[in-house]
Amino acid sequence: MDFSLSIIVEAWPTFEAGLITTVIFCSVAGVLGLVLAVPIALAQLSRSWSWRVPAQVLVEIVRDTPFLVQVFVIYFVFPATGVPMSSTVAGILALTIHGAVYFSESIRGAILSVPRGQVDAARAAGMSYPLTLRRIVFPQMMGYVLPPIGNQIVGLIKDSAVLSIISVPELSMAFQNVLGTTFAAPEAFVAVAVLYWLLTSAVTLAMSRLERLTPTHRSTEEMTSLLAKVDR
Amino acid sequence: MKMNWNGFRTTVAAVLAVAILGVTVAPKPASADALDDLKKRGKVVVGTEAAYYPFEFIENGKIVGYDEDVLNAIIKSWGIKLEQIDLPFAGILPGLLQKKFDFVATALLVNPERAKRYAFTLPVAQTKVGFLKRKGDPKMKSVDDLSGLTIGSGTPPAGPTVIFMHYNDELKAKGKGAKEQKMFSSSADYILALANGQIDAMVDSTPVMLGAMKKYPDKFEVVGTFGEPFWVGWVTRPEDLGLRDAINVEIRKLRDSGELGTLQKKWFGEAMTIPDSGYLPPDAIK
Amino acid sequence: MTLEWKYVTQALPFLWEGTLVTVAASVLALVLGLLVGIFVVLGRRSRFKVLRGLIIAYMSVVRGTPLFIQILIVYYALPALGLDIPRFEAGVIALSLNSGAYISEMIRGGLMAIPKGQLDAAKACGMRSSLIWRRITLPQVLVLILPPLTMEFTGLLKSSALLSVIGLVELTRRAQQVIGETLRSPEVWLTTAALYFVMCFALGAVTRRLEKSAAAYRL
Repeated sequence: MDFSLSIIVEAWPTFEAGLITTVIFCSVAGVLGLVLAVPIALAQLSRSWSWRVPAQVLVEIVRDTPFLVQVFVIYFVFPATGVPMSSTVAGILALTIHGAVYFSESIRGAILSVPRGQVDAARAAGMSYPLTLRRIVFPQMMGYVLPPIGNQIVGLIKDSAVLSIISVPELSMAFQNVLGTTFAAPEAFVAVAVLYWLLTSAVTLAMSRLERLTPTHRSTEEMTSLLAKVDR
Repeated sequence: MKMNWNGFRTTVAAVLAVAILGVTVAPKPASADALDDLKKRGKVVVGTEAAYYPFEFIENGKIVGYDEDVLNAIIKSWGIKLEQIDLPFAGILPGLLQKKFDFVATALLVNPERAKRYAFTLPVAQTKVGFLKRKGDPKMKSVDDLSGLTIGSGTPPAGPTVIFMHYNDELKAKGKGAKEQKMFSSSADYILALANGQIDAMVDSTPVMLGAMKKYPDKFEVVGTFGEPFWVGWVTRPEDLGLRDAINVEIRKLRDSGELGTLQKKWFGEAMTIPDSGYLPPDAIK
Repeated sequence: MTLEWKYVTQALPFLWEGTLVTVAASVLALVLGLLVGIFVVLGRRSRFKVLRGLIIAYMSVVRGTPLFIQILIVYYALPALGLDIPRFEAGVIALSLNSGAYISEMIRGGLMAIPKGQLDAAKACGMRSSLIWRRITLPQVLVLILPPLTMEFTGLLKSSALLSVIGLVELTRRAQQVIGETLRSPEVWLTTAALYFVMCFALGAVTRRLEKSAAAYRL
């Protein structure tokens, strides 16, 4: 069998359009997911069950069903109950919820990694809960949260391949179209795999760069000086 | 996963090497006379996308439909066992080339691109391609003007999809092309998307549109058809002409005995005339 | 449109048969994935540069590309190389190759948790390295990775839904078949989601138990 690059070159506009859609969908869902993940994580850590239970239910539902089935449910069940749902909205919604739940697991773990004593100290020093989160917890957990989040963004990109099933024109849809029009050229398989691989590798590389720039836990001295600055 | 530039470069090289090595190995040669082989083997493996009501679909776990009735008649006459593989449409033609099955018995519109790569059998049906919309929806008025509309279809190389894309290109030149085309992996999915209002109209062959109307009474209406009628046939691999001819012999027998017409009436409501020649486009594999 | 549950009662036995295929494919993929994982861990320590290189490439490709594409490649692209694999086997192979990469990481983690003193002691007693691996390392690692392995099994149950794209008649494909006949989908998808949920939720509870007992298992 000959491997001919010309097939890939000819199909490049299709691949490119798909790649761009994949990047857009993952970026939007990634950002929205991260934003939503924080309240989900905090709700799960909450002392009040009226926060904890709904968050836990959402997390379990998302974690215990296949993403493919979630996509079908969002796309086909919502409209049947009267909620209009285009494939774009359904795709981004499915990716966002999925991402938010997995991100929230990492964020929850990272919050718990900040020594409890520091939070207690901050609260005792008169910091409000939101301020404690902003000044003490969030900055310190970054080093702990970035590696798993990096993996989960890669996971998000890979999961987005499923969205072709509800007609989202992303990279794997582009691949299927090329497959259909070139009558299953093996080149198409290589091209789509390489494109996804380059995309996820770029994310991995960027995340490890970012990790190196991020500090982890503060020392006692830093804590003391930080607390000294708190307005009482 | 940690990675640095050096590691990244080594991995790129390794992956590309494996990828290119992988696809340059030679395939195995094809056999000479397919039907004799099948009879020796005692069974034939057939690929079908059983999600195309009323041509082929699943009922109580079994594949049924027009093509299935025709196929069973042929297999009975051959006196061998049938093993049928139900696949999403996107896998049907690649699966045939990769020898996942001996031939494809699923409704395939005869079109020039396909006929150049696969050996078509005699047609088993004739159909037109058209649009279905929600009943009373004023958005789509005629098949000649798709401006502002979102049209649902199968994923290429689905026959109606390919025909629609050519047709839409012509309309686009006149400024009347569709706003968007949404592609799904099976007809059930775009019929549902139409019912849900997620697309404005769907494109497919007439029996499929009539089938959807039967399943959802009062929900849909046909806007109209476009273009010339198409022949619907099955395909074998281009080198298996012996097998293709053997299938043709059986289809011809069924046609001449009137059985094919009976089945067409049963599934489509009308009998069709099946020709002996002239159904293939110019550059087709004969 | 309202939900009509009669379609579900009709379809339930049919979906149940698909569930059994889902479980069978996932169990096989887990067992094979474990073997792949062990092979990868051993191969990474190999003296042969080529083997190490291949394993690095394998890990990178598996973790850097969607399982969806991997499944299509195993089923549709490998036959071009003369490797024609039937559907069920192709599905299981794709899943276990994917899973093996992640399981190998679990095994590596487990290996690191085994105190070096034990290995030194075994060596001092004159045990050969293959024997150490069989008698000391592997049994302990297997216990250590049991909780993440159960979690991986949950993951396999879920990702096996993707085998529907090559037409393997597991739970998701059965759901699609029911929809292809009835052209009603919300009821069917909700039921399918519920079936997956029950399986995965139950396994999640098992995982939490195992985590507790593994924590009690001190090396």
